[in-house]
Amino acid sequence: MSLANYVLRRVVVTIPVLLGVTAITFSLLHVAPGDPIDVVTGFQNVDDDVEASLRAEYGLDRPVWEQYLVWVADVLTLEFGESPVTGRDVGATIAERLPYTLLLGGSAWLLSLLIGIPAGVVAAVKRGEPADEVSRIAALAGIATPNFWLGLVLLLVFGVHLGWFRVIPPDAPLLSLEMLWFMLLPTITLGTASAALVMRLLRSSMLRELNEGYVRTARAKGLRERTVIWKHVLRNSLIAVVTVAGLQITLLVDGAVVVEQVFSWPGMGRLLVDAIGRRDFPVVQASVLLIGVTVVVANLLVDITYSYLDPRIRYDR
Amino acid sequence: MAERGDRDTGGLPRRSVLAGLGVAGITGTAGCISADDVAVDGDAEELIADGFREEGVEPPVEATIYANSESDERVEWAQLVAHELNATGLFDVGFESLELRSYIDLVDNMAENEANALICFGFIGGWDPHAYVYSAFHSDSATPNGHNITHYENETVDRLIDEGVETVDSHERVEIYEKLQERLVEDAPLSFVRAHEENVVYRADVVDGFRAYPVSGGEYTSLYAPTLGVYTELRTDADELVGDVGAGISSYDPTAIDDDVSRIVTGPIYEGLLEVDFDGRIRPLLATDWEQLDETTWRFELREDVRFHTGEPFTAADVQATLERYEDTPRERAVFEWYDDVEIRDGHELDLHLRRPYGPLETTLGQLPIVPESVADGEYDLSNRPIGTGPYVFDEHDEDQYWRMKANPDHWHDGSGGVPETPPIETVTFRIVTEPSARHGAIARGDVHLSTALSGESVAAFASDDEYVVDRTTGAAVDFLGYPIYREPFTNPKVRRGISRLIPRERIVEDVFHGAGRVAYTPISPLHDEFVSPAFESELVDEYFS
Repeated sequence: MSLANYVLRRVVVTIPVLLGVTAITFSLLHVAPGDPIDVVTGFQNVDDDVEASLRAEYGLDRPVWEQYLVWVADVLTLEFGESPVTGRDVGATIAERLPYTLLLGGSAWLLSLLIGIPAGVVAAVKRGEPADEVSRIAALAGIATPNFWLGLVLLLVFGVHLGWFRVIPPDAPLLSLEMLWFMLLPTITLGTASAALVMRLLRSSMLRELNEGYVRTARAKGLRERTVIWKHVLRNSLIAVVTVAGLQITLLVDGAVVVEQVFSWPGMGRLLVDAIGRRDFPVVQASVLLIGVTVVVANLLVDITYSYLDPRIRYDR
Repeated sequence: MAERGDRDTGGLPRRSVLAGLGVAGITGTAGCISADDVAVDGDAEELIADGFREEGVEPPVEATIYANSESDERVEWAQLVAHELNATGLFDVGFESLELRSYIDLVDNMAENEANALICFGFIGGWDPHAYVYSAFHSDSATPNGHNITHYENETVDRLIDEGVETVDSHERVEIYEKLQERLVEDAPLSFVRAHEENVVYRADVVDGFRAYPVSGGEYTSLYAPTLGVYTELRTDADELVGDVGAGISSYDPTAIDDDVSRIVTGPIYEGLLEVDFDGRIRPLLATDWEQLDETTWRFELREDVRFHTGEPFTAADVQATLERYEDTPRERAVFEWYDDVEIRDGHELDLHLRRPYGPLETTLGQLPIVPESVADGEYDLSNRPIGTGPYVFDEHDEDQYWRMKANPDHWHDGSGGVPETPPIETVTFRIVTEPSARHGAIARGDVHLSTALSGESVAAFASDDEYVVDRTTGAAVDFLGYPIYREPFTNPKVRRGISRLIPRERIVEDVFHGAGRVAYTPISPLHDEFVSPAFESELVDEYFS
C-alpha cells in the first residue's frame, strides 16, 4: 500500500498550500480598492445605516482574519456562501460553469497530446529531414502566437468569412452536436501552444534516448524499428512529456480566461475575471480554491504516472 | 466651426515649433507668444501662461492624465490630450491607465487626496438637465455624496442648480440652465469633450422598424411602444429576434439596478406612469392623463384594464407601493429627493404630493418602472423574476449567456394607432457578448440580428454596407476632462479654460470614435436642444473657445 500512503501524505501536505493560496487571495482582495457593497449600491451615496446593514449581512464588517476563518470553516462543510453582488449561491454558480471549462480544457488538452506526441515522434525519427523542419517552424509559430489573436483570426476566417462556425455559442445544451462543433475553434485556439510545447519536448527527449545503449541493443536483437521507437524509446521519453502535460492541465484552466472571452464561452475563466472586477469576494475565493485544487491534483497525477512509466520510481521511502 | 477645424488638423506642427519658444516666452514676456503667426494656438497658450504667472508657477507643470484600461477609446483620447498639452511646452503630462475599479477609487478620492490627476471620464446624463448638473457640480454632491469629484464649490452655481430643479416653467428653466452652463464653462472645473451617439445596427433583410433611443437604458423602446406609435417586425418567418448586450445582467429589481445593461434588458418588461419619446416629449403610458394642481401636487388618472404579469390588476395602490419601496434601498435618492406621499382617490386616480417643487418630475416618472404591490408585501421577489405590466414577459436568464423574454399576450394595448394589439415578435433574446470584435463578428455572420453595443469603428464599417441598416442619434451621455482644481496652477480658471481650448475635440470625435457622437462644450448634452440651442452654443464657443 505504499502508493496509497504516498498519496495520503501528499494530500496532507497540500492543505497548508491551499490555505496559503486562499489566505493570500483573501488579503489581496481586501487591499484592492472597492468592495462588493460599492457594487451593490452602484457607487451612489447611501444612507450609512443601509450600508452598515448590508455589510453586516455579508459579514464584511468583521476583521479580515475573522472573515477568512469563517470562510474556511464554511468551506470545510462545502458551503461556499452567497454572492453579495448577484445574491446567488456560489457553489451553484460554479457548478454551472465548471462543466464548460472542463470540457473545453479537457478537449484542448487531449488535442495537444494527440497532435504533440505523434508529431514529436516523427520529428525525432526524421531528424534533419523536411518533416522535422516543417514541424519546427509549426511549433515555433504555435508557441509564439498569442491565443487571443489566433482565436480572433480563426473566428474571422472560419466564422465570418466561410460561415462554417458560429461566432457566439449556439443556444443548445453543452453535450449537443451543435455545441461540440462550435467548440472546435476554441479547442484549437487553446490547444495549439500546448501541442507545440509537447512536441518539441518529446522530440528532444527522444533524440537523447535514441543515443542510449539499450536502443543499439534492441536493434541488434533484430527488433523491428517500429517496436524500438514506439515501445522502448517513446515510453522512456514520455516522462518529460508527462510532467509538462500535467502542468498544462492547470494552464488550460487559467489560460482559458482569454479564449473564453473571445468565444463568449461561459466557463470559469470569465466567471473569475467578472468576479474580480465586481469584487465578488466569495466567487473569487471559491474559484481560486478550485484552481489550487486542480494544480495539486494535476501534480499528484503526474507523480503517480511516473511510477507507471518507470517502475524504478517508487514512493515507499 | 471652420476655425476649430483648422486648429485641429493643422495645429500640431505649429505647436511643436512653439514648444521651445513657449517656455522662453513665459518666463520672459508673454508678448512673444501671441506673435501674429501663432494665431489661435497662441490665445490658449497665453491664457495658460497668464494663469501660471498669477499662481507664481514655472512651466513645465507636471501632472498625470488617467483613463481606465477597459475603454480603448478613452485611453486613446486621453493620450491625444496629453500630447496636445505637452506640445505647448507648458506641461509635462504623463499618461497612465488603471483597471476600472482602481480608477473609480482614484476618481472618487482625488479631491481628498489632492491627487495631481487629470481625469478622463463620462456622465450617463438623462432626459433632464438636472441629471447633469446636480450630481456633478453642486457642493452637496462632493464625493462620496455624489459625483462632484473635484469638490468644486461655487455659491452661484449651487443657487442656479437649486432654482433650476424647483422651477417647472420650461422657459424659466431654459434661462436658468443657460446662465448655469455659461458659468460652468467660464469656471471650467471640468471640460466637456464629446456627446455620445446612441446607435443600432441590424440586418436589413431580417429586422424592420427598430430605432435608436437617445438615453441609454431605453435601447429597446422601439421594440413595441404603442403610445409612441412604433414597433419592430421581423421580415423573415422566424419568431425570434436575437440582440446583444456587452456585459452581464446584474440586477432585475428597479430599486437596485444601476447599470445600463440591466436597464436595457428589463426595459420591455416594465412600464412607467409616463413615457419619454424619441425627441424628449412626455407621453402617457400607465397614466392616461395628468395635471399639476399646485406647486407640489400632481393628479394622475391611471389606465384601466391593465394587468401585471402575475395576473393582478394595476391600481393606484401599486403606484404608491412602488414609490415607497425605494426607502432604505441603494437608489432611495432617485425617489425620495422629491416624493412625499401618494393620496389614493380611487382605484385609478391618485394625487402625488411632493416635498418640494420638482421640475424633472415628468421625465423621472417616465423612467420609473411600476411594480405590483404584492412585491412590496413580499409575496414576489423581483430578484428572481422581474414583474411589470410591459409588452414582454421574462422567460429565462443564463447568467453568462443570454436573457430571454416572450411577448405578453395580455398586454393592455387595444390595437389602435396603427400598432398591433400584441407585439409582433414572439421571442426576444439578448446574447451576452463581452468581446467587442465578437459582437462585430456575430452580427456579420448573422448569429445576432441586431446590435446596440458596437464600437464607433464597427458602426462606421456597417454604415457603408447596404445589407445593414444603421440608425444613429445624439445620446444623453457626455465625456469630460476633470482637473485637479485644488492644486496650483489648476486652481486658476484661466489655466483650465486654456487647456479646454487645446482639447482636440473634432479629432477625438473623428479619429478616436470614427464619427460616432459630436463635439461638446457644455455640461449638458446637445441632445437637449432647448437647453443647448445651436445659437446659445455658438455664442459660448465664440466667447470661450476661439
